[in-house]
Amino acid sequence: MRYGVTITGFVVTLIWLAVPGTPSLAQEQTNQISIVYEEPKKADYRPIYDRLKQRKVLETLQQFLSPLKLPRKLTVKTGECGGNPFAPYTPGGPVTICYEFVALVEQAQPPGQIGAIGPQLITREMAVVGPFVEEALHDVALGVFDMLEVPVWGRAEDAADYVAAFVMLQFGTDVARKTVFGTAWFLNVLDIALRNSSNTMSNVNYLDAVRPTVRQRYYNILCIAVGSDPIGFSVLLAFNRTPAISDLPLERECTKSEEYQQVKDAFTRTILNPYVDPGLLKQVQSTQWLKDD
Amino acid sequence: MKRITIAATLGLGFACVAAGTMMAVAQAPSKLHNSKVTTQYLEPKYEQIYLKLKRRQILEELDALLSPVQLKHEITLSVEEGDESCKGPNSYYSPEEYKLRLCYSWFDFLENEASVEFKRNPGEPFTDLTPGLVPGFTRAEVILGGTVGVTLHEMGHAIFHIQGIPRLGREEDAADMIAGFMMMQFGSSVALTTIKGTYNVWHHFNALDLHNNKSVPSPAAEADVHSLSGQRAVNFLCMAYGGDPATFNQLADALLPPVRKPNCANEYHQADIAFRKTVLPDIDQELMKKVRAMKILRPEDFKL
Repeated sequence: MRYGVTITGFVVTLIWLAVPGTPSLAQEQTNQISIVYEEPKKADYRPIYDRLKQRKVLETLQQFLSPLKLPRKLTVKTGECGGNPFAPYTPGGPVTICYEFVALVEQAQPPGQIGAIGPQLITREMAVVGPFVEEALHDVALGVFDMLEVPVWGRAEDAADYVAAFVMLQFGTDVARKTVFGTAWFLNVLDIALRNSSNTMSNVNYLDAVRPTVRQRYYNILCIAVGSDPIGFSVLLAFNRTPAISDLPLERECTKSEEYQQVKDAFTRTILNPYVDPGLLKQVQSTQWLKDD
Repeated sequence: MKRITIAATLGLGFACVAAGTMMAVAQAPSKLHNSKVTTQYLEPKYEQIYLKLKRRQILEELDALLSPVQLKHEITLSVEEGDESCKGPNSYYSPEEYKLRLCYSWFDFLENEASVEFKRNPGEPFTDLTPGLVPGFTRAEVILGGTVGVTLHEMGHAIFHIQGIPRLGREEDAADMIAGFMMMQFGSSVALTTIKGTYNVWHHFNALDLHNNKSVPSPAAEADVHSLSGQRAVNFLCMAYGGDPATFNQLADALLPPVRKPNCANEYHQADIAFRKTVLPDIDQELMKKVRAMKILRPEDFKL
């Protein structure tokens, strides 16, 4: 699970996490997500803890997830993970978004105001919001699979990425582009750093971990996005140019939407229909979640 | 960990394909049959393999094992030379045709590559880069396990498609998962043979992949719909260790990465839940009992 590398060379930036402010919804009582900001022991993480708390990041997530019908409370917390940005979910336990992960996201931001993956420009806001939202939805998905005993064929970590990507695509073009491209930026930077490290790419503790490789996650998430909107996400398909590592290979045939449709079908049947309140979902879908701040 | 014995309905058996000795014992065809299943043996270019498979009645046995499944559509089980997809060692399920193709090339590969000890220089260690037979494994395990593994994998695709089973994860990993889970439902001896054989097959492919790409996975391989070969080997072994730690502890200690081993029970549990919720509802319990009484791997299957 643990990637076991430290990314060096990035400037640790101090900008605020650009997650949105808290939308107002009336049905907060129906929420089955409980939240905790765990105080970090390590002083380095104190600013992250303060920012997340001040920006009410978990409250926002709590409201976003309010339509989810759960048999009991599911705790989502921010906390330290013993140095592992991608600490594995423990069945029955809380969902933890690691301060180490947030620190890694901050380190991976574009050095200027704008970065790029191939021809796709990436703002710093996208580079922060995207991976944070993806990781939060991914981690919650694992908690939900566990609590509801959702039938998951295939690796749970992939399924959690698929669910996160699918959800990110259901709230309009702006949210979809910010979160998908932002996540792609982060994973691309992380993968390149891993490839440049001495022997991580041949280390079985990386290759055969619980999570797939970073580059596999990158392609999986992009494939769902392309399947959802082949034109809107075509910028990372290498049409009429030499493919780069950041391009989703055409051989994967993501434009056929088969993988997207498979995830859509499975999500609808195993989670959406049985466990999501349609009335609350409409309210959530009509809310502006990622404001330009 | 408690196993779901009902999964035995979908299982194996049909495994041995290899040497002549085992084929000297002809088996009576099973009387169990799924009315939705048609079988065929085609194009005996690989004549010896064709004869072995037919004599062993691999497809009839697969048909019998499918008999408790209330299939929602007809399916054809075929052993054949196939099209371009069968050129390399392969087998596949075609959803458009509702046809499961086991390619002769796959069995040829098992007999002549994956189960063969790779010649090494004196003192040269066996590593992740060494193809062929894994030390401590047997040729019979590779051929039997490799046959069962590919057949159950493709049967997994078929069942997902025909029964309309939701897959939240990746399709190819899902097929590996149901295959590995089914291998675990016939007792520890069958589990050990089939998991070891399947592990060896993917170790072999992983060694070839690494040779071709300077010991690291290529981005193209990471973009593939299949997991990396090394990951597939570990996925099968992890599932097995999670389901039966006593039987697989030694192998797990030797072959599973330390970061992965603690999660294996969760992975088996996940497959257990998925099977109970998505496959089991379409299983005929009475027929299942008969299938469970079938001999899966027979003593003669190991006389290679």
